[in-house]
Amino acid sequence: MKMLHVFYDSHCGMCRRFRAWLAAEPQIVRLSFHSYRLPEAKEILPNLDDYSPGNELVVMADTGEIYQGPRAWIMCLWALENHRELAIKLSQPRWFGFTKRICRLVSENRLGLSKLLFGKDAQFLADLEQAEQANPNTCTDEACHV
Amino acid sequence: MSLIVITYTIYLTLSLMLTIWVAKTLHRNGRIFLVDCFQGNEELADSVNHLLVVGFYLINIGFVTLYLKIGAEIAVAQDIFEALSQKMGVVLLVLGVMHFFNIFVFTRMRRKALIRNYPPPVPANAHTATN
Repeated sequence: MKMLHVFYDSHCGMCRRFRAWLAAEPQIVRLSFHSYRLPEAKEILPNLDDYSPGNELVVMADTGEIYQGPRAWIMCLWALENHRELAIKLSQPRWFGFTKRICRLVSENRLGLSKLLFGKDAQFLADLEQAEQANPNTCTDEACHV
Repeated sequence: MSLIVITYTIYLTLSLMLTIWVAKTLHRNGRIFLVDCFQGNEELADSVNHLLVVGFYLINIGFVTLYLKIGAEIAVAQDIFEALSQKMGVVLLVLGVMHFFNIFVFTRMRRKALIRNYPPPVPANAHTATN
């Protein structure tokens, strides 16, 4: 396993912060980020919608494994040099239940939490949404990956 | 030969012998740790092992020589033992600290290597064909 594709929600401020944090950390396994809302995500995983990326984080390995929800979160941490130990800990039975609850809570309330924590991003997201609707096929790299 | 010279000679001989013994033990028993740290790359492990021992010698011999001077007067045989025990005690403690520091470094390196090679900790939810 050399790369993990992370399908995140580009309309959620918190998810974008999380993505930026992941991208900045030293990686053992390369992380590639795709907004599940954009067509490029379907090019990588054509049946992405089957895994309900709108409800929980979806991660796909270059070797074909697909991870959802808490397992996807753990895989993201596992890819990082400084947080692999935490990933191993969270995957152990005594911590996995807790990880599952936290992931569900955060995933379900991500938009509300984003608004609460990063309210100033709201205008930016509105602009982004508008730009995507106006011209869905010509998004620049910058806009796609923000 | 004056008593102080005898004391210095015994001190240097004992300290150097101890340093060599600890270095040899580290060199011999640290190798297996290092081979594991470097994922079985024996050449690299041997090289690092040798470099660590060189560093160990330099630090210890440097300390032993710097710590040679005895301030108290050595008048009778009893003074030799007292001065030597004080000097040797400190040298042994420093050797011990260096030894544990070495083990700490080895263990840390090994732990890092183990974590780096740890397989995915959770099973996949699904599997898809890849190109």
